[in-house]
Amino acid sequence: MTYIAKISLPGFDVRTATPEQCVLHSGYPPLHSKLGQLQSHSATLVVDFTSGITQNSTRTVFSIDHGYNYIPTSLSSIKITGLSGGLELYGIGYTGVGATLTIKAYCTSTSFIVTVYDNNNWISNATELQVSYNIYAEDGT
Amino acid sequence: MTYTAKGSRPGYDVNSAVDYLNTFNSSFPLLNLDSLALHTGTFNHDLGYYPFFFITDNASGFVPGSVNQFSGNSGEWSMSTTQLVRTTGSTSVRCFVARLDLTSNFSAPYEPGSTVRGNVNPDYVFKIAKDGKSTDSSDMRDFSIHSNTISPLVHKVYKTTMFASGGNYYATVSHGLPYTPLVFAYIRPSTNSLGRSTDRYYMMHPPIGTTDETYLVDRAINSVGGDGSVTAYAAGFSYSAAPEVSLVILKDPFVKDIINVSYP
Repeated sequence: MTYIAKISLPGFDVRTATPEQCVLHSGYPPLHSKLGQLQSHSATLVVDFTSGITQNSTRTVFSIDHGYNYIPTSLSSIKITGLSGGLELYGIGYTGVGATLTIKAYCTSTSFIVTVYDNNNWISNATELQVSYNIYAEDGT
Repeated sequence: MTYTAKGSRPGYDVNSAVDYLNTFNSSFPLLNLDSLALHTGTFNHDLGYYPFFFITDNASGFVPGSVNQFSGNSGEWSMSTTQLVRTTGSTSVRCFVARLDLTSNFSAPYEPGSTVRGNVNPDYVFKIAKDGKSTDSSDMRDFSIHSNTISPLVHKVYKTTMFASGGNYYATVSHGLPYTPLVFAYIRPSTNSLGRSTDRYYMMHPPIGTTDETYLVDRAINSVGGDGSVTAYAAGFSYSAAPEVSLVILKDPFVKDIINVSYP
């Protein structure tokens, strides 16, 4: 016998509610981000660039150990402002300008890292990068 | 009388904590997953509606659903009522499909409250293990619910037909939150010059310059210069009629605990 734990949304009978009509349903779990980690798995990184960066080279601007021995899932909302020409860019996990600017936020098998590649002097001391991230326990790739 | 079942994060009083600090709340759903498997091509979900989805790739961390300069080997993906369809690329990627209908509008209340964190008693945990797993497990993948974790909370689903303005198409909705939330946006194309299906939803990309479609999340309601809205855009030169969009607004704030770094 399989047991199910579920809470239905307002207006739905929990005994007959479908997973879509549930707040939580033990048969369809959500993503889980650990709390209480020495290096937070849920935070907003703010990178203040003090100058331009080395051109034509991928630079790691942030790195933390996530504590898993596999590649976990991460979701990162990226916002970068103060680029050359007043440009602002946004993205989920990834943003940039063609082959000349790339910002990535993702997990390896040991770390969550944020990298920046600039080959057109997009970044200067006026640039600020914000990455709102969550590292989840579920397998990434 | 309305009854509420809710749990709060460790250290936060469940009776007074602001709602985005809940681990669950019977007024709004968690982003409950139907599947999170690896795929190299089109696969069936057979849910009978257009479900929320996203795709991750270890090269980029995330894969926008629409074809753009960032798709690369991860390819182009779009969602029908029965399948997650891949039209380009062949590498293995992880596809997340949730039990959340992109076309079924939903709006949760906002429950303001405290963000003050008190002491944490590690002796108390609320957890439900998955079928066949032990509640004594230390692997969070073995749990349906665990109070020492947080999960995405759904605040609003807004599906609408875009309106024409200035030769382009727009949709806008107030997120109604006193902070900037996290948002996912999906577009179901109308007749278009991009070769995209008109019966599938594609994930939209936040602003990256000149694109065929994008969306922007404005700041908190009542903030200076902000109107607390989410706006989606589709280029008139690519679409000959108004597309449909679905905006999924989470309760999770963009600004969480801040980590400040200077570089170089």
